[in-house]
Amino acid sequence: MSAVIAIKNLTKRYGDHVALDDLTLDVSAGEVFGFLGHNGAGKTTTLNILTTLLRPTSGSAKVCGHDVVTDGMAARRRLGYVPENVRLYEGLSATANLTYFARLSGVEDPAARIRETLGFLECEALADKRVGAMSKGQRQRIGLAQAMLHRPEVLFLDEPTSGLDPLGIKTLRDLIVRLNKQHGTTIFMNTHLISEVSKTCTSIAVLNQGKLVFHDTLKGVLAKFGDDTALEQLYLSVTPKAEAA
Amino acid sequence: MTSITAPVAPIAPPAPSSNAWLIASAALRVAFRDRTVVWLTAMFLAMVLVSAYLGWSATHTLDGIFQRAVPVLKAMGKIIPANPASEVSPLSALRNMTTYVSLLGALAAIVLGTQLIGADRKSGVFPLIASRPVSRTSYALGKMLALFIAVISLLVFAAVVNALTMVLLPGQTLTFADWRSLTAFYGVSALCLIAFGLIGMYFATVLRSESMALLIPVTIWLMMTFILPQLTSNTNPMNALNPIKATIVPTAGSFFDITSAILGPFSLMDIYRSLSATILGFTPGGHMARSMLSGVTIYVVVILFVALGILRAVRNFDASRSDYND
Repeated sequence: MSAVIAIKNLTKRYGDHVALDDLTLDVSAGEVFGFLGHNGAGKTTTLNILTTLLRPTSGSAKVCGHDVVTDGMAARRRLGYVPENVRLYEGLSATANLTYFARLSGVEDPAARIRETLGFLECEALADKRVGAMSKGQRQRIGLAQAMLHRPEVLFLDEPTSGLDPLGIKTLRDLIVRLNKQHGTTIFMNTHLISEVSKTCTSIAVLNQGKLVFHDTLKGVLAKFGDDTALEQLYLSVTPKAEAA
Repeated sequence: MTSITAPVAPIAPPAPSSNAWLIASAALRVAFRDRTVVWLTAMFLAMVLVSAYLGWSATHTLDGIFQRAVPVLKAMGKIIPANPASEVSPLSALRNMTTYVSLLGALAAIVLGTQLIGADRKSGVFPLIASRPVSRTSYALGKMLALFIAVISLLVFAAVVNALTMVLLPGQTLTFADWRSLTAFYGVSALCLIAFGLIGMYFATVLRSESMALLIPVTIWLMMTFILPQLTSNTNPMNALNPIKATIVPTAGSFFDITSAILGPFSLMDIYRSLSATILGFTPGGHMARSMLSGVTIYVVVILFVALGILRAVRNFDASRSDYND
């Protein structure tokens, strides 16, 4: 399968601090990719670079063949992004927010597309609700809707289940899997929850202090190590700074 | 459950100009949900109505006294003088507007300019916008367009109210030159408000603290309204507040000649009041009014300079750290 995300020698420095250290990584089309690591490992920095929000210090990254620095506009047309804490205009309804983002993305019939997307996410009832009055789980769904409106080929999710209750986590997890299976959307998901990875991802990579320390398919990992518990052992063994983090 | 279509070839993003319109309309919608913006705008509009009433009332009273005096003077066999209400330029009834524009109007423009970008940073929505196929230039132009639309709308309302007042003024007939002057006055007022709105927008973009983003442009406005006029022409701060300030000839002297030459171009409020006094016809004899061309040129240069600063700041903006930190 061709790589829809191609990262080569990517480095990001903030002064003397190296947030991302010479990262090289490919993610194939149709994968649900789990990017694991402790807090501060460099996952969000990677995602910010891939979504064109941040410029790397050196190296390159391509999304759907488009360089995120030199061809950022084309890359943005093909990606969707859901931040860890979905922040929208609190005073506006879900529909008003989504209409704005649909138009920014060039969607021709925003009303129809919003109906269709909210239907897929099973949250039509939120259409007229003010975002400021929504729960975290509801915001996450509207955030996901915002990222899906223009039918992106790649969806970037930053800690999508962070702060959600167990039901919210399950609902969102099911949506991610359904989106990937039914429509072939490639999912790039930052997380530090191993349980999420084993239930949703098809391949995983582990980042530790800005460096890639592990990358394999989930099938390969389970074949080598057996079950979820072994996955946890694997994670802890490749991230020796776990307790310090 | 509704079915959803599979990912398709990327949709062509709208043209940059339509993006700017889209961003402008959304920005105005969000900004006018901010209570401070709404209150300041409402106060400015209320002051426009007050100014119109005061202008009409003063002229009406003067005309009323004259009309009552005419039969008395006739009975006494005295010469009837010209109606004093028609002796002065009808536009001078608008002198209060100069103060309202430079005080409330400029403050409202600063708060609005700050909010237009600040609302995106405060709500944390900027990273989502930056992840859409929208150029930073379109984003900045959209925000500036929103400011222009808001300022022009406010001033059109004020102009219509003032024009109606002029038409209703007793004993006054507006000539073509008067209408032209009225248009010129609102043109200069627009330049003034846009300049201060852009200054607010610039600081909302470059600073990481929301309170400082509002405090610094307000401080600049205070300096330009009260301190610079004092340094350049010894204008008492109270006179700077007074619409009849232009009737007081500033102190002459070599010190003020020098400070006026150096700081004068930065004294935006003094320039605005001087231009307004000239246009509305209440510049006193002996007062060296600034030429229209030089005053307008200074404003245009300031607006272009600040607008370029905003474009540059938005282009270099780190979208991953866009939230205010207070």
